[in-house]
Amino acid sequence: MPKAAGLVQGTLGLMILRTLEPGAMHGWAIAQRIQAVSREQVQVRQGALYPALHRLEKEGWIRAQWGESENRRRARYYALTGAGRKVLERERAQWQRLAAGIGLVLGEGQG
Amino acid sequence: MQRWWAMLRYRLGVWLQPRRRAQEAAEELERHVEMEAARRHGEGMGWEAAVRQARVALGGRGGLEEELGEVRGGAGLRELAQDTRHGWRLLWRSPGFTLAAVLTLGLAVGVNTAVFGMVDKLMLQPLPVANARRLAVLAFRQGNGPWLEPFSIADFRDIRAGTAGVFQTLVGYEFGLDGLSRPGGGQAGRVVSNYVTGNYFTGLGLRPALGRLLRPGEGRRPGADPVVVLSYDYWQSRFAGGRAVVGQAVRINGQRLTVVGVAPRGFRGLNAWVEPQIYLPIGMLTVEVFPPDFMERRILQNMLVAGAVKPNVSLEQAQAALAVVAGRLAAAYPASDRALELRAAWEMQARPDLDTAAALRRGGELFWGLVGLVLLLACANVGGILAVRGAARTQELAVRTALGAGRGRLLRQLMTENLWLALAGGVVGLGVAWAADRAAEAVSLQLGTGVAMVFPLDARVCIYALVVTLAAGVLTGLPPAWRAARRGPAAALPRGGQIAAGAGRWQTPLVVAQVAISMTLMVMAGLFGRSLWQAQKTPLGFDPQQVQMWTMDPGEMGATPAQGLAFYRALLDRVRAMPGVQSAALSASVPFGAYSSNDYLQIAGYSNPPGQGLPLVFYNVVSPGYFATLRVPLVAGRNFSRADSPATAAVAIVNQAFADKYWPGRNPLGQHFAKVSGSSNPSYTVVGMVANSRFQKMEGEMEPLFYLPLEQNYALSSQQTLQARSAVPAAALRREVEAAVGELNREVPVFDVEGMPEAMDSAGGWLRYRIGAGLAGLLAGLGLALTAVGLYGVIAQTADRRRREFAVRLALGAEPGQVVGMLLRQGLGMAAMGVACGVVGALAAGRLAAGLLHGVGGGDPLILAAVGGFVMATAGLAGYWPARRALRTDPAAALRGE
Repeated sequence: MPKAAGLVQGTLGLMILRTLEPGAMHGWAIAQRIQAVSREQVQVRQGALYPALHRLEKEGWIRAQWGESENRRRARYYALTGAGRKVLERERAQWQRLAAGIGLVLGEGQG
Repeated sequence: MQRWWAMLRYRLGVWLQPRRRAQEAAEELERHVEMEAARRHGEGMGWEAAVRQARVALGGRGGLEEELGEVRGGAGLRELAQDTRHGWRLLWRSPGFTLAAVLTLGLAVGVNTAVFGMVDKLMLQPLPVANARRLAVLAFRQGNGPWLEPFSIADFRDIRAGTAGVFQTLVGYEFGLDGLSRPGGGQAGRVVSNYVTGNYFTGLGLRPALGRLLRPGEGRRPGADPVVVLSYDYWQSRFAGGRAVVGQAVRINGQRLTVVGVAPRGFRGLNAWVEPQIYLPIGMLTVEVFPPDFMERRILQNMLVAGAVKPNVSLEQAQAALAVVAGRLAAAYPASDRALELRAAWEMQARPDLDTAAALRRGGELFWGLVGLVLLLACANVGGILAVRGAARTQELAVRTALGAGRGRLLRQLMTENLWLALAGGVVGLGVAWAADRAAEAVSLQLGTGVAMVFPLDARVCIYALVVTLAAGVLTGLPPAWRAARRGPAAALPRGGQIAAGAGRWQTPLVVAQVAISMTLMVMAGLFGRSLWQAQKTPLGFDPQQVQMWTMDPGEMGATPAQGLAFYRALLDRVRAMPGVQSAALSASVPFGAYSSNDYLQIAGYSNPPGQGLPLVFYNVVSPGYFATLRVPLVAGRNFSRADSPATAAVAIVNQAFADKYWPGRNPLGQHFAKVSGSSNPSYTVVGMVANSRFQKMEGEMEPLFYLPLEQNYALSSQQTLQARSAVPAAALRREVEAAVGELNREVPVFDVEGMPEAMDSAGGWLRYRIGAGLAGLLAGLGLALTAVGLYGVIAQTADRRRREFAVRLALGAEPGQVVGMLLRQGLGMAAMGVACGVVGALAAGRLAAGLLHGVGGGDPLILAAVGGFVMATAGLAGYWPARRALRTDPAAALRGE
């Protein structure tokens, strides 16, 4: 499977990392949060969420642990690792530069 | 750091417990569905509908789980299986290449493993006793004399008492050669025995395999405890491992002893090279011919001493304690212990003894280095071939890249293939090592009775083989795999049928390296070969040709001195009467043989240099006719004769070196000297002087020697070697002599039957040069063969690649000879570079080997030139064939072809 995944997949990973920045969460909560924070602009395809989580775990940017959920059931909680935080910072900066650049280009087009 | 840890945890989790992970993932998804359903339910949907919708939102179960499975990395194992199958198919389809590569790597890995196994067993592995790593051996010297290892029993006792603070235990043992016969008569079998102190087995922490071992307190008085312990291997071979052996009576040198037990399996005594077959208490030395007070006489020195240094004591502290004891002994017993110095050395650094340990280590390191070179050569060889094959697979790899394989994936695939190739080579290597070990064991038997080196393929050796195999696999396979994986899909574009040029760039340095290594190996072989030749040419001072030998010892059957002498007299008469026998004699020691005696002398008219002990001189006990048989000329005085008997004055004959050293400028005839350790200390009168002959040392100065007549000195050595000079073929003579011995006394065993020139090929003689030459020659031959093949391959490849160029040249009118010349020049050029590098390598190796050679310098120019020429000639031949073949290409076809 090619390493270079599509843009959306990459950004999903980034969003997951961002969501986990304040603290650990389990998978469903992450999906809800992304949807909420993006004001429903981003619909997380739930079928994409878990593969993305496992990919991030495989790369060592998040780690997982079983814990107790709100309704006293077992749930898998994910948290950022130190490397994950660094990657988040780096990618966030890059993304913002990219977005600004695109915006400039588009803005210029408008004259 | 945390990232690596997290990655590792994840992968380990998946690898080790795949099913649990799958269950956890399923549970996680189930939990997600519950929460999503709860949310929808909270918004008013019915529960079942909510659950159904939540599941749909998550995605088809099967599809999702498979995707997860893909991500999780079950992929890893699947890939491995895929690559393995593919690799095996490829190897199967080109059997020629596979066979060549596997054999090459196998041979290289095999010799490496074999050499390591031997070095490990002989030098690296600790003895199978308690505290093996803290074991030290003791040695002493007097004044500026040489360091000696055999102590007197009385000195041993004092040393043990005085060093109780630094040595946990101190044991002593003496080697002996005796005859053991079982009840029911029959011939006595010769055994190597160890006479040990009472604390030997307990001090070494050993447990019996059967019965009991010797106890502390046993052997304190001469003749006190007639018990014997068998070694495990001897128990198996001579007593068939029967459990009834405990309590059985046996006769050792005619005396009755009782077997009380068997030593543990794997224990072969404290000397890593010579293994005893029986252990007796030190008090039982009475079975050999010894003065009755042998335990008190400080001048009788035969006991080897070893001990375990206490755990928190350093070697220096032990040395200090020894120095104190040495001073005390030197003061208390000036006759025997004048200017005594004691020394302790770690046992593992003193194998087989203090003198030869360094040389042995150097030899081991040298050969380890040589086989390492062979391995590098093999890797270069196979690596070159793999590079060519990698280049030929560009199409396949490019297709894989286009289908999405990343560089890492390609690399993993290629490395998997190469590692499997290496592992196949490793298996072959184990076989080669096994065969080499058996060969080495066979050679070790030539070193003499009791030297039975066993080289098993144990765990350590197998692990080493595995490590070497993997290293070879990586070294051979990684560079070509790396290069092949790096090329992008563009490389697949048709390019006129040429192999990508990149592969050719590496071929030259690889071949140059191979030639250089071959050159080094061949020079080494040449140096050892020349050593052997020189050693065999060394003037010996006697003539071993046409002399046959038989060794026997009536004492092993319990014969009295009178019986023994009568036997020998009768035997000599018979042998001398045999047709074709020119002369015959008896002698206790054979030059460079396993048995020799020496003693301290008090020489009248010679004063010791201050600070030194008494002179220690080798001697031989011989019958009349000895010098005639060996053709050692008599220089002055007379020979021994039948007139010399126990009733007449004690006489001796010395050699020229003895006279020159101890009575310089004076007539040796009529001078006197006495042996200090004899029971009666007779003073010998010198009645004759013979020319110098080599006895113990193959090189250096001739040693002083003296000879004593057998009739007067039977007590010193009941064992004698019959030496007969005859032109009669050996087999016939042997039959006659053995028949004669049998007629005289059926029970006396005869052993070490051989011609004298073969006997010279012993450990003290030429054997080590022969072994060195043989091994080095083998490695050199291997190296040369590999290099020739490698060179051939390169030239053939070049010829193939430049097919069209040559066709054009030929069409334009070039002479075929010119084209051949071009190719040959390329080959010879590489060879010349290799030879130049090889000279450097050979000189370096020669310096390492300097101490092991005889009469040859490490940088012998003659050998360097000869080898260099030989290599160039081989290179020329190896390049000639493909060059010739290149000419046969049809120019038109080549120009057209794609």
